Amino acid sequence: MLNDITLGQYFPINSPIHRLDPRTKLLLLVLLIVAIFLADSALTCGLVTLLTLTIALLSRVSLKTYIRGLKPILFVIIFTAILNIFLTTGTKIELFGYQTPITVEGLILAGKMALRLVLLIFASSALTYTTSPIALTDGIEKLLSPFAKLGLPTFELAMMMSIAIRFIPTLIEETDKIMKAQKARGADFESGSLIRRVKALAPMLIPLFISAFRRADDLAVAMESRCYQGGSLRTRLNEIHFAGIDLIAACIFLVVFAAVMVLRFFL
Amino acid sequence: MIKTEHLRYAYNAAESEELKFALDDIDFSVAPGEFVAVLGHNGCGKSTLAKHFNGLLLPSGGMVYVSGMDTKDEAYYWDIRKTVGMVFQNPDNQIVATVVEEDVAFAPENLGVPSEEIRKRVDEALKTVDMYDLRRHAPHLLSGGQKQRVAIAGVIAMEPACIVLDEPTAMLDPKGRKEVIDTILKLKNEKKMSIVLITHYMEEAVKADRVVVMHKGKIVMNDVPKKVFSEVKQLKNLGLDVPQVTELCYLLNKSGASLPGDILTVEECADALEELLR
Amino acid sequence: MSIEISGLNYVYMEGSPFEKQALKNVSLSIADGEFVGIIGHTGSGKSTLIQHLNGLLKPSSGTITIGGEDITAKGADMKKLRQKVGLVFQYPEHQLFEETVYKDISYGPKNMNLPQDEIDERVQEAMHHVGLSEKYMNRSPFELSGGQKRRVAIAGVLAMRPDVLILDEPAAGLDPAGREEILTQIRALYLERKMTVLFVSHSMEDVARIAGRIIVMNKGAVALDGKPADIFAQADALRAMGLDVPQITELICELRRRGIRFDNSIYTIEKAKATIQLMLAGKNAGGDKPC
Repeated sequence: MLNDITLGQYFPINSPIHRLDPRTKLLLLVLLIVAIFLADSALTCGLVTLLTLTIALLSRVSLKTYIRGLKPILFVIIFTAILNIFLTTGTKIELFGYQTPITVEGLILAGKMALRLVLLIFASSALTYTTSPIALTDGIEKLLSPFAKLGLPTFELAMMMSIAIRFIPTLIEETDKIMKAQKARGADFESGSLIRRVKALAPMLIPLFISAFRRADDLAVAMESRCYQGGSLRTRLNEIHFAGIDLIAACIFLVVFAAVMVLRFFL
Repeated sequence: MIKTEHLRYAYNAAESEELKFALDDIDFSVAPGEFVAVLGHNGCGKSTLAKHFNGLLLPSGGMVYVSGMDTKDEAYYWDIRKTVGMVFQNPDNQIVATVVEEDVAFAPENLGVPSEEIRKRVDEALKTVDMYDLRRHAPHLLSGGQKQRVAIAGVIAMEPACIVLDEPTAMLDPKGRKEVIDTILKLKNEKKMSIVLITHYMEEAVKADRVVVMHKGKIVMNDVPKKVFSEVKQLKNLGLDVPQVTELCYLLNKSGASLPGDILTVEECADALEELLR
Repeated sequence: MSIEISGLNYVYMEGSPFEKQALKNVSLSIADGEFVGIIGHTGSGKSTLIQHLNGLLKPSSGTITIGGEDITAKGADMKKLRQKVGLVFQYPEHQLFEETVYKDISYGPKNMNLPQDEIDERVQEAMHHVGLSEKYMNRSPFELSGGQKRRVAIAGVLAMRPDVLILDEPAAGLDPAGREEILTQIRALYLERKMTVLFVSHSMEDVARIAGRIIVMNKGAVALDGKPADIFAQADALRAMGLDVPQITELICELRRRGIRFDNSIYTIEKAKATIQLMLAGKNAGGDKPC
């Protein structure tokens, strides 16, 4: 289970998608998600699928990796599909002379929903696979910067996020280690009633929390030693800039987005 | 570079009201370019001392000066941290970023150094610790020794005059330990940085210009390694080790041989024994 | 309790881009009551190997038999196995979680569903083995010093009274005095309880002092296996695997290089001292008689 978490994993390679400004990617992702949910007809669905797949291919991260990213929400996809298939009213399908509770409309809707969810995961994975967490938080911080004037601590939020991302693998490793250590002392995380299982988690969660606090303490001291003093003065190793490629990407997205809007609402 | 005068640090012991001194009347100094090792068993106060060198802790009594700046003077708060860089024991808990070079850039970024200058410093720091080829890697996939070298690079990118390392090798395997010590020696020899190495490994202290031995918050020995390690009996009483060859010569001398008392390395010991046995 | 490992392979994260063969065709046989030191640098497979011995990892292929029971067979009872094979992880103090030392140490025995008086007895016994005075029993483990916490954690495993005790770097991060103490206690425990002990370390010096047999792991395979004297005689091979040899071993290599006849199986200060004294005595008595 611990090996399945590919969502939020950055691949440090070079591709046109990697080179885009994180702000561009964030904004275009929002645009793409809107388009994915508005796409209704075969044509619009095809269009957003094409765009999403192009991005995935251009990112030079293998499609297999994208598909693996679906695993954690596979259940959700199947579950919504089943609900849609059986709960949509319409023309019932006849099979071998029997009437089944499945409707044509249900099948279409289920397919559409599944496609949307898959595209959604692909699109957001494309962002996290191609954008280092630091660039991502930089982008979010810059996008939120207008709100800083209203007193929103955008810099601190961004810093917290990037530290959280930094410590995810460390804490996963730690969890694995503590779990094994307690198993070696006869702990049983897998059987018994729900209450028993929740209780059995204490020997794992308590050491994990203690260790997280210890790490936080250490990190605070280390950061202070390296002159961390909040956001005001800070400069960046890689300042983010919009470039020609961002403009091109934005144009392509806007064309697709406009096409979907027009096809959906005006034709 | 760093100088303490009658430094005392008091804390409230957990179960009693009385004040305890973690540091008691410490007079310590590091000259520019000097490599000082601080040796002592766990709880002798060596880490507490280290935290005074860049103002993380402030003295309860006495003074600490960094390049002439009083650490208690708020006006020097950031200057002191910039002058004395700190590397800690657990490499995992001092790496902030998810990419090696981004982490090394953290301190200069905090100091508001312009981007091009940061790039220059980061590249140079990574080359110094021999991690330039892995600059785009994720830190959590590195070995302990590599992580610790990234942490050192993160400190030298700040361009401090002195670097204090608080048990940087305690959690590493022999290979990682060697990588870190070689890096420290390089900083001393090539960058002419002052170095304070807190450790309980005597094989590391042997490489320093001067060894300071602490016990119960006090400095009990302060001399060149050869002098300090010739006191085999005293070190053993303090719960510390001496190099195996030093102990061998000490034992041989005790039973009547006449070997030099200040042997620290295998070469020296082989020379002396060769002469004796031929 | 004896351990038989045959043809053990383990592939880490099979089928992912991070796939790596961590153990390659490892076959070992450890007799009941042996004290074995396992050395190897980080990534040599030593930690992976010991995690197989109490079923925390499942081999990709190969079999492991402990005390005559095949633990790799389908349906092998892991709970029973873990009572027989006690595993102390690196930095075990990080797994402490209870309010009191007593409760933490009794966690293992409680999971074994033992009666209360037996649990009490075992906790006391375990604390005695690691040299913790009974006055700590109702203290919080988190108030203790680093070395004491480590001993509480080790006691937590000992309280299960395993027949095989596996320790992964039990002295890591301790100062020389703390190290010495732990090593002495483990040795004493071994002699008293006659258990089989596997002691994993990357410190040659520690292993040299307490183990009766040394297994050197390298790149997931067993590279060397033998008595300490035989292992240390191969100083060059050890260095080539990135391992540190004790200074005494280095000294003897150096003296031999300089043409002085010296037994290359010497690896402790005491033995070196005795040998040199003998040589000196021989020299003084009989001129330049070879030794």
